[in-house]
Amino acid sequence: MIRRIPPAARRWLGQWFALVVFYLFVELVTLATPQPHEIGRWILGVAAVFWGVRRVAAFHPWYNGDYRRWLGQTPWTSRKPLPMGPVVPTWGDGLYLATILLLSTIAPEPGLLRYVALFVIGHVAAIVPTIRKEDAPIRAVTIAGLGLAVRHFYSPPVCLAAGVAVYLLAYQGLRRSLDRFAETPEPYRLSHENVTGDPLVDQLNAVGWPYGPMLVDTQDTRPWPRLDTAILCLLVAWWIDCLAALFVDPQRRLAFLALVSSIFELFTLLRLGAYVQGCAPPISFWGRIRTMRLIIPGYDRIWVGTICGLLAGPMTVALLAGLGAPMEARLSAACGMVLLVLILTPPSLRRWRLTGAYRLDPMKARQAGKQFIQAG
Amino acid sequence: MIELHDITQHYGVRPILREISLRIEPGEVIVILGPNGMGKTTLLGVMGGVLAPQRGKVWIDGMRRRNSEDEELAIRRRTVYLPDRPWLPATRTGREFLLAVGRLYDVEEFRLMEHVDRLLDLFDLADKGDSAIMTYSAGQTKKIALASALVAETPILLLDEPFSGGLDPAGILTLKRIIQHHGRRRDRTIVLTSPVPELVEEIATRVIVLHDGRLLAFDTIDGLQRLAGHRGPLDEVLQRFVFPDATRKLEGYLQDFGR
Repeated sequence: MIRRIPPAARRWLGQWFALVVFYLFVELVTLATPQPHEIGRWILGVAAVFWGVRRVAAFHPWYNGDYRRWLGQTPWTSRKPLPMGPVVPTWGDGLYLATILLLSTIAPEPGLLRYVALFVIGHVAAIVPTIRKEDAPIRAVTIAGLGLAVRHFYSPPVCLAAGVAVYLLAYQGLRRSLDRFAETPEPYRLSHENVTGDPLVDQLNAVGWPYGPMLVDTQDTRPWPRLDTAILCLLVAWWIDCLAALFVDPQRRLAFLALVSSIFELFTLLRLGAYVQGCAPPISFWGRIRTMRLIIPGYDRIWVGTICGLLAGPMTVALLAGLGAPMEARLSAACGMVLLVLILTPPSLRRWRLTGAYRLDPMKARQAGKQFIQAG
Repeated sequence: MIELHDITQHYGVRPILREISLRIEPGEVIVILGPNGMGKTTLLGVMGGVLAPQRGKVWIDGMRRRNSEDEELAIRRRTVYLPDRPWLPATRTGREFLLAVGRLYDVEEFRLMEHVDRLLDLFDLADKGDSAIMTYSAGQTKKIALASALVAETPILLLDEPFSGGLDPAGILTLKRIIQHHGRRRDRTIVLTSPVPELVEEIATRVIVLHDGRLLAFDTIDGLQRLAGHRGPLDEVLQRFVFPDATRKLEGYLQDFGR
């Protein structure tokens, strides 16, 4: 009997059954606890987001390299249905969501709309990466709209309305990405050429030192236009502010923002790490002091971005405080500003690797353990 | 063409290279000679772009090193710098490694595969070509590294001590023949270092003699013999340049303690 059910439906049934059993089990176990439905709500919320993501992540060729490459070799066009299944919600998703809504009635709160909104948010979030670069405005507005939906998480009607509006926009991006899918066929690669999944890392690993650092071109060959960078940083700041809004308690909200701001300050050190990795100073520290060449402009220029990045956060907070902005906005904006400074402060990583006054050091190869051996 | 102007380099306090200026013409085979620790590898590293000198400029085919992104990338694509002991990918096979290097230098695919086969055969690595490099002996890793420099087919080859590192006599002879071949055809500019003059006497168009970071001489072997006032083999000529007192000291030692 079970064998007669198609595999896709069998998979669906399995996941549906797992959710129902797991949820009921957890509800049963936590029934006697002081907050009996708390974990159950989380389970349903995560299940709603997961199912929204799954529809795109499991069926959009963008997420599956083999599927994408195979599809590229076929005469498929966006006018035909995708062979593995559609990326837009189906009746199966509706039934799954209906199950979640049905199960949610066991607990008195938080209401049905919130789970529908979570499903939509998950679904749109999974669509965003698939939107093509050419449709950057659609992508940017979708990301901003998603932030708005998250910001109003505690007002389910507004959250759902924002989610649906943003879905209509994201759907345009999705449709256009599938329309132009066949325009950018991927080159065929031998399996051994693609070991880590990152072509740059694979190339570096395949040729060792010094061929790798000398010849493998760093990826920022086309630096983002400044406007795109500014939009990206604005979106980051906006999203941090939206996520902070999920904390109802003001103290916890500020603590979250302080933590995120600290992480962004740490990015300055990560950036410095990316620059100095394998690029040693041309002269030792002792040599600098003895020869009184305390600053070597060709090398020390990498410190400019680090110092500016470290100063950008506190300066933004101080500036916005002077303008009377609330603390939440100051900290969120500081994160965006740190990111902006880190991206825009010269030199770019590629320029540094090609023109910096450093000494190429095989440190990375030496530290890679058994991955590299020294000839001779 | 490789041109160095006023190159001065020091890692700590002591200068390794002092005010070196020279010009290498296309198609020449240049050997940098000198005792250990006198700056041969550093000079080659400056030409190869792994070091940024504290003072001075390097031009390769009219483009200045580390001046602009496009120029530097163009220089890197037409230059192979092979250090004395490069780091090789241990888990890749020799063939995979050579193919990856060739592709990095944009060698045409069919020519590349043919060239890799021929190089593996030439360096007696045909049997080991499809084994992981980690299974190679020291001499075999040196051979595969040398093959990687050749497979790139760049007009400029910078080889640091290519004859050392456990290379067997067949490997040494093969490499000498290849360098001699390119030297005769003048189709590649080759700069290499060696602490042993006998190995490179037959292949060098001109010789750079370094001592204590300074350029003592840069001339043909005939020119060096004239400068040294000695028509003997290159090692003796070099000794007169670098250690003018060494012959006298040696004779004194043998006279006193030679029994």
